[in-house]
Amino acid sequence: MKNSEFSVVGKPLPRIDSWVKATGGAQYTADIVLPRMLHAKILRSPVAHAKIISIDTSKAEKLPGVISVISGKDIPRQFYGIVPKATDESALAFDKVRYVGDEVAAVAAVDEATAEEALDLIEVEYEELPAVFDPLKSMEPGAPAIHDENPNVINNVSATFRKEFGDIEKGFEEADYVREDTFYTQSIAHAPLETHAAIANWEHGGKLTLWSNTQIPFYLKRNLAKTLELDESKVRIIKPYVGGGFGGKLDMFSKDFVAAFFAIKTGRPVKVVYDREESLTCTRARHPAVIKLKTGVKKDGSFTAQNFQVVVDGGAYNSTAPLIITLSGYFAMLPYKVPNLVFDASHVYTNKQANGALRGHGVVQVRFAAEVQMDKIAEELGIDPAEFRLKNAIQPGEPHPAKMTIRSCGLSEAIVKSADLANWKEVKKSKEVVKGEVYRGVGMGCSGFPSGVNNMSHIGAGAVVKIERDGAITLLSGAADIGQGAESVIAQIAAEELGVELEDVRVTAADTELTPHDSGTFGSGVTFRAGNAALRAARAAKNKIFKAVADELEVSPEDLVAEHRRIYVKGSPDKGMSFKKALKAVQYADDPFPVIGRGFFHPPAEEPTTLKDADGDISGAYSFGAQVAEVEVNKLTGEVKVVRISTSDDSGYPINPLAVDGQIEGAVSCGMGQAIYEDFAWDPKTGQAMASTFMDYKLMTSADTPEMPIDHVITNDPIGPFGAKEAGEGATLFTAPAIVNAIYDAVGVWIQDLPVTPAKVLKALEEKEKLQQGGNE
Amino acid sequence: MRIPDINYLEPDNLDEALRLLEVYKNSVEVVAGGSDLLVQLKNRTSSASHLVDLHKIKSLNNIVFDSEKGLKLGATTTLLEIIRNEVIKENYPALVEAAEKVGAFQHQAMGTIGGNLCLNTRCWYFNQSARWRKARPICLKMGGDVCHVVPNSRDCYASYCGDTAGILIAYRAKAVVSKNGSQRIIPVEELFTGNGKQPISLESDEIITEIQVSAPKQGQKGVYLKLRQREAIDFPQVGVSLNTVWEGHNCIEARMVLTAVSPKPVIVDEVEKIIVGNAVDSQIITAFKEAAQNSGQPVANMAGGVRHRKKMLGIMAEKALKKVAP
Amino acid sequence: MRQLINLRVNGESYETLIKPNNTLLEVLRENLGLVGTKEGCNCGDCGTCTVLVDGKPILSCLTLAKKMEGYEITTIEGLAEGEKLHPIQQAFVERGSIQCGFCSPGMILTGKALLDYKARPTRDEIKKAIGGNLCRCTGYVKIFDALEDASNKIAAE
Repeated sequence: MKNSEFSVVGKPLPRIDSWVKATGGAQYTADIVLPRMLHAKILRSPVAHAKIISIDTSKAEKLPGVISVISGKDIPRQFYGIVPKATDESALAFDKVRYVGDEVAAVAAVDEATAEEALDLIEVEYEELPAVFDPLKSMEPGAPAIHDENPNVINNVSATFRKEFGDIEKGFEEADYVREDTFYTQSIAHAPLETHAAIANWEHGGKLTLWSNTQIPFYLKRNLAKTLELDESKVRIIKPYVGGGFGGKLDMFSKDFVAAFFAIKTGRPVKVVYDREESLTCTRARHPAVIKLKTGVKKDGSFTAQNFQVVVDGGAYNSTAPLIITLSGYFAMLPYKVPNLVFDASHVYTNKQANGALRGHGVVQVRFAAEVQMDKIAEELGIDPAEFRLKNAIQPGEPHPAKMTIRSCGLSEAIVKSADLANWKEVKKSKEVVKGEVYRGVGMGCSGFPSGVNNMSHIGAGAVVKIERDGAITLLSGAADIGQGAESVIAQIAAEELGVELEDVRVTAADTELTPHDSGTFGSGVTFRAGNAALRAARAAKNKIFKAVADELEVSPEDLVAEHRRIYVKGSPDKGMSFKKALKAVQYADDPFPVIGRGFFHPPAEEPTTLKDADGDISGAYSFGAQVAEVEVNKLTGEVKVVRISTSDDSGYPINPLAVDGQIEGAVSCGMGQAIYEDFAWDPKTGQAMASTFMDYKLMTSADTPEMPIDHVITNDPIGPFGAKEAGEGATLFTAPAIVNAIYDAVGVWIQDLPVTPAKVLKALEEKEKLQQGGNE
Repeated sequence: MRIPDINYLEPDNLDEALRLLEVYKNSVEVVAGGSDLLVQLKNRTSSASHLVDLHKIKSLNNIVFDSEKGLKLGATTTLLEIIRNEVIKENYPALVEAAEKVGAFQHQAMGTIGGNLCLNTRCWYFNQSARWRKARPICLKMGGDVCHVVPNSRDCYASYCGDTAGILIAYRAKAVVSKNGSQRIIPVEELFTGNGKQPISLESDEIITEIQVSAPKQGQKGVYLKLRQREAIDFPQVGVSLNTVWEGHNCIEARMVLTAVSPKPVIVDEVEKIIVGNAVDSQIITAFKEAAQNSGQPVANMAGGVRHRKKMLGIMAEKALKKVAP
Repeated sequence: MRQLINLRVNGESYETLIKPNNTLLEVLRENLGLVGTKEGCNCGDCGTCTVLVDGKPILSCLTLAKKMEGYEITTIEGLAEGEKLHPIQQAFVERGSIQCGFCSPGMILTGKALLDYKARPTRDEIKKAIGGNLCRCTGYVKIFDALEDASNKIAAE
């Protein structure tokens, strides 16, 4: 490995929070108990689309133990959402409900059982409106208007996005082969094991503290202050340990507002914990998408043109729209050279749970379409799918047709490595029948993903390293660790830079009062942004110590190095002192304690001026990867068994290879869910999720887990901290197409609408047989 | 999602339990492992106000095997106790197979054989929270007058999804049913009414106290196949249980039972006619498959697709037969 | 009507006031402050709330607290001996088996129930044993690794 000179970074060290989590000592939001704490519950709409005529809370208020009941009329008429210009959601419905589960009223009571009981006593009169659940039907003229309050929303289309480069017509003219396909990707749930929760405390005199399992504390602060009509400076958000997010804890939710509003109203702390059904069906999910894709290629397999026409089902609210379709457009063809491209997308409201960011936000859908279509094209052209990908793979330093700056890219190497891991050529050639009616196949998919997305306000990250006289090192970071290991990674970076061990660095993170601003956990930017900020903060602190040490040793600070708790002169390990002694040197020099180092990072991108349609860079670095799925398909039953998923990723230089592996394995299980297990199965009459429990919503179990060999490509990104890039989100992009391509390799049928089910496989096999028989006649 | 207020009773002997069941008849539910009932209480699909828990009654938790008289399983014997019992594994391997396919480790450790048999029928419009169900009219199973699965139906088609009932019926097992002052022994299949709404034939003051399985015969071979999406947790989308006895290549006894495709376990009567007295050949397999396919009536009350589940009935029946055939 | 019950948890006796409809999960978390036991779904589908009762893994969300009188309950807080982690906990730390950590208590306890019954399980037996403990972060692979490590370590002791 290239960077073997590192002593902390690049090592598979246990995460700094793993001991406390292994022993049950980690406090998550729902674990927190405050004196005099109340419990709140939310009444949700039983109808998909309706005007609220009246709400009578009087009976609920009379129930012993109930302290307060509120509905939309009691709260400020303010809206929230991820994109400031597209906020369309309120904590409690003002006039209308827009899906089964929409928040209508809330109760605060002395305990949870009383609050639950009181919900049944609230009487709501609805005037039902026609509802629409299918995004294509929702776009039709005359469909029920879901956000009729907004005159800019026509036919329920709340946002559109178009990106274009090259000359699309010329591109298709130059093609030797053109094909067009339609794909559908379903909604899946984030399904973190910890449900959404919040606790609020109001101190008289005007300070609100909210403990919330959020991915973006600083953004939550902004939305919460806005909706409470409080000054932002009065609101403090603390993120405790978070039991998984995957994008599902990005938005502000009703529970955040309800806890805060009740806390202010009652003067007592208030806790709101969503149950599993609320978490699965009343928060966010992945946007389903219908993708029409037309692609032109030359005989040699090089792309000439590509046209994406995409409709995404937004559900009842905007959440991340229009960002979702922007991300789809920017990263649709990141891994490949497509000289001429048009991307057109619409975000459409429907009367279902709103959709939002989910691991691979907006990109999973379009990459599924593109990667499966690539295999269809490869088949037509008689090219090996891996060769086809190699032919078009983007290379580092090359100009990307979409004007992104690709400083590091190991895609080609990843394609080769993943194919080798999977024994690609052998399995592909053999076409063997495994056993009776079971056929084996391999399929490939590739990915490209940003390391954080630029061009939004406040996208930078800050960090402070504080070193006390006694040697205690604290890294203050706004980064939100939601279980992915952010705190451990940035601690490793700071420890490496300071020349101490990982265990010497304590992290205080994601507290808007104590820690510097950070844009939060989304777009895979944490290691890149917060890691660079931590690196700079550590360097600033180190420089102060080096100055005192240099003076004492009578050398120049530039000659010093720090490693394994020692600071010494480069090349003369004996000439130096321990880290603790160095702090004495600072003390003797009368420098102030604590030693403080500050760091701030903002990616050096040449930004497009607008995310609407301009060219330009959108991230500081891009990760890439390739994956091969090996499946066994039973022709008799249609069952697909995933035997092995072989991954090669370019995550730059892995700060913690163990953590990167874990990210990839987790991404594989999410990707397998998207491919074959997970489906909400929306009820056509009410838009409700039929799968509202973990019994019916099928998260993959350990018993279904395939082998997952991994081989990293190390690329050392010039801007990433110690060469690191994004890991674990891009890795969600390739599993579903790889599995679908493998199914084709095994039994010769394409499944273009997810999830793949045995019924769909059998139906496709039957149709294929009919077609063949027809051809033989 | 809390359990409503209940009166929780833990008798330490059977007589006391039966007396309590009689006293609170019609408002009482029996608790064994609790893994099915407590979910129903939380979802408000059970309105019992009294629970009689059997866990303190030691006499109900036992496994007795005699090579001539067969097996006696106390009703509160846990599925895990069955799985880990060497004698059962040796003599009734298909029962162990079925118990191992129930839920997951935890459900097997909690769940009892009596409780597993008395599982309520399932439907994805019924097995939902009270909040979820509010978006629709009350269904037949909840005491309303509509069915969300079969339009205009007057009968509830919720599916019986227990894993162990099928193989016990295929073994021609019997259940000892007790109530205050009396006891009766019935074939296990008689525990089921075939009415999705009230699937278990026991009165609310009756309980199963014992399961009896006759001694395995020479040449006996059984199997339980379960169609499910995941290898753990899931209830079956189709269950096929088959028990057979062979003399050389000839089948001398056979019984096949289908689960998850009807409100009760379905005994496929034709199977006996098709196979008993014969050796397996392709004609028999075809007839066997057809019999299975024609006997189950899956409806759209769970994931998996009706057409597909129906098709799988035949495929799984064939697979089951091939597994047990010499 | 609340009633006083006595529970044995992690070798200690707790006298606590409960309602008959309280689950063991509620009482562990709300009465005894043992919040290491997590609620993931509250209806027995995810395994997050798993605790050991007389060594067997049970779902505390589907077990009435009252029923637990007289049984020996082990929660995640009862596994380590002072600073010394149980070998399974140690292996979870070392093998990177913990990400968000929310499933870890239940996962570790189910793993313990398996290893206590069978000291050297195969990988397939491990995969099957923890089938009822859902995890969204790890893809399970590192959890298998940890349980294999722990098994080797315990067997070597």
